[in-house]
Amino acid sequence: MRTQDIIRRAGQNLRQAKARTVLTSLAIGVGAFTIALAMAAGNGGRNYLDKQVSAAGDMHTIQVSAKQDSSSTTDDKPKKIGEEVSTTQSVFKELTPKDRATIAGLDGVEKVLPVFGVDMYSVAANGSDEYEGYMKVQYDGTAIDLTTGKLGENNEILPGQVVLPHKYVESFGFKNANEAVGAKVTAKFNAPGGKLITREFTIVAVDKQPTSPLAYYQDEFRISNKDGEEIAKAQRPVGEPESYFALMVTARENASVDTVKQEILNAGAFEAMTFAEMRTSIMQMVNIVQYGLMGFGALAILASIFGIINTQYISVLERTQQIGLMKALGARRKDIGKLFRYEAAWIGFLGGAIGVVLAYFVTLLNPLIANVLNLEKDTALLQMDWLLSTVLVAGLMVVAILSGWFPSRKAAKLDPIEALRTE
Amino acid sequence: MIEVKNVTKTYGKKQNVFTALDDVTLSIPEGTSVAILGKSGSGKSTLMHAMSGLDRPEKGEVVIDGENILTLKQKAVDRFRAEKIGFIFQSFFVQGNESVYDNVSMPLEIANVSGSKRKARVEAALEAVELSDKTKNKAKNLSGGQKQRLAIARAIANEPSIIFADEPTGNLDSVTGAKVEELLFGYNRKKGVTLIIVTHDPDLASRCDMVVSIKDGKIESIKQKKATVPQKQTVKRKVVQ
Repeated sequence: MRTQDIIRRAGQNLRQAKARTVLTSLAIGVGAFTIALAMAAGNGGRNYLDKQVSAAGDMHTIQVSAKQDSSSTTDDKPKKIGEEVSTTQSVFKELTPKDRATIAGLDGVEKVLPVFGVDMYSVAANGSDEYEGYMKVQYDGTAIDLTTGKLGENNEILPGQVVLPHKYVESFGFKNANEAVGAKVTAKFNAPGGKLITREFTIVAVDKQPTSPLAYYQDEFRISNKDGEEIAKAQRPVGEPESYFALMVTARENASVDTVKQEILNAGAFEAMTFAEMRTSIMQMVNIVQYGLMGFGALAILASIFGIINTQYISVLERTQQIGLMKALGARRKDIGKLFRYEAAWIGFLGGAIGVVLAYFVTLLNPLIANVLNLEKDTALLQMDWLLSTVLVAGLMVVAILSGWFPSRKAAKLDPIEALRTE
Repeated sequence: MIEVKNVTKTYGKKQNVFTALDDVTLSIPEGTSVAILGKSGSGKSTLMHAMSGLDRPEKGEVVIDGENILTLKQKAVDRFRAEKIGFIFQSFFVQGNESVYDNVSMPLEIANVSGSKRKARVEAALEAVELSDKTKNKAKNLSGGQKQRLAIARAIANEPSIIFADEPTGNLDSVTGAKVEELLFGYNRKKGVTLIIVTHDPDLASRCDMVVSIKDGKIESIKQKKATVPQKQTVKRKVVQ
């Protein structure tokens, strides 16, 4: 028999037992649905993270800071009454120009950008009282979620500009964020000898709480790296060398970021973190969720295999006469076996298709999911992986064929004389 | 030409051995209508199975067109059945859930007849049994007589050279039975097809050119109406390897 005829007849036979076919394939559908959804979640999750991480920095960038002295942490043993509590607060160790030179001299390092720490004493604007606040140097192209205003290309803050933390809008007496843009901020910084230096910045934008739960956020006045460098210089006691909060190291285009990172770690007491690593560690969580879900799906499919075997055995028993007739008419064992295997394949296909289509319908709920998780509006956390879904359906067809193997063999082996001896 | 030589078929083992066919020898010329007459359990169905390649008796030879089908490989026997043999059964064995068309098309699909030829042959076969108007009906909606006519259409669709009919009128009333007989004998005469009817009905048997009476697995008698045997010279088709 021709394959196309067998496939057609297999489809016909299934249509004649609609309820049974649908129920059997639904069992596979449940597994397929779970797996397709897991793949969609993994796909969407990875894409989402990629977007988040690439917004956070360049894949060739390594953030280097001094290795912090871990022994300086206060011991947490119970204290006796009257015992002197040694509050040896750990001082944040900064990097030195020597460190900078060491790192700049390494193979594979393209450039080293120092990040200065500035220590702000007070901040005021719009004739308001003076407030406490933190100032941070915007040393890279990290995206900042803005309520209003606009930054330069690559999220650049120009010298003389500041991004205002949204919480200060009200404190500074602005009616709203829009009004704040363009206004001046007066900041005072500690300087050697107990003096204060004052600088003015123009508000270029007002930030906002990032919608992504993964994003780290602090109320910080963000200024340009150049301003930071100047202020840090002014704050430094005379004669003391430069020190850096961190160094942003860019690896050469052709060098492996991980190798460069290892070189840096070997070069001294440094801590180094690549953006690729940050990405990997978060990605691992996504993968665990995905594989967990896929595991459940696989279990469901395993259970459905017995459903297929059962259905096909019953089908063989029911259709003894048809099989006998076909064999009497000269159908070969191979043909009969194929007929039943293709029927199983149809069931697998149907189940897979049902599961994938259902999963697709769930991905249509993306706006709702983004809303519930408080993500950006157009975030699609579930993204169908159509290629893998096709592979899934094909795989399920193979699984179904394998489950239908024994029933199809039973059918193929039927003795036509026995099969046609009905009375 | 069908030659059955010393065919013996037994069922069971040792003490329970049952001899269904005991050293049966007969020869059927091409184009003859033959009745295999016997009571139930006489071995007449077993003989039919042996001659059609459905069964393989342990002893003897069944030579059809010069080829001993008992020594053929299974694949070749299947092809022989698909290409040369048509079957008609007492209980029709039409596939109720399939359309009339699909029922007739089945043996053609099995014999790998190409799509275009298939349609023409199905239509011709349905025309021959006057079921052309039922092409699209489900077979289960047909009456008993129509079902058996459908079975005849299925049997003749691939233009076989031998038709085996196992009690073709056994489940039909006399009027519809007569019509089915008419169809079978008509086809036998018109196309020169060898028609082998297995029956216990002496009236039906008497209409055949040759009557083989069988009892307890042995041939009791072979009667031949010499005058009516049509020795139609057809080109002998060689049985497949």
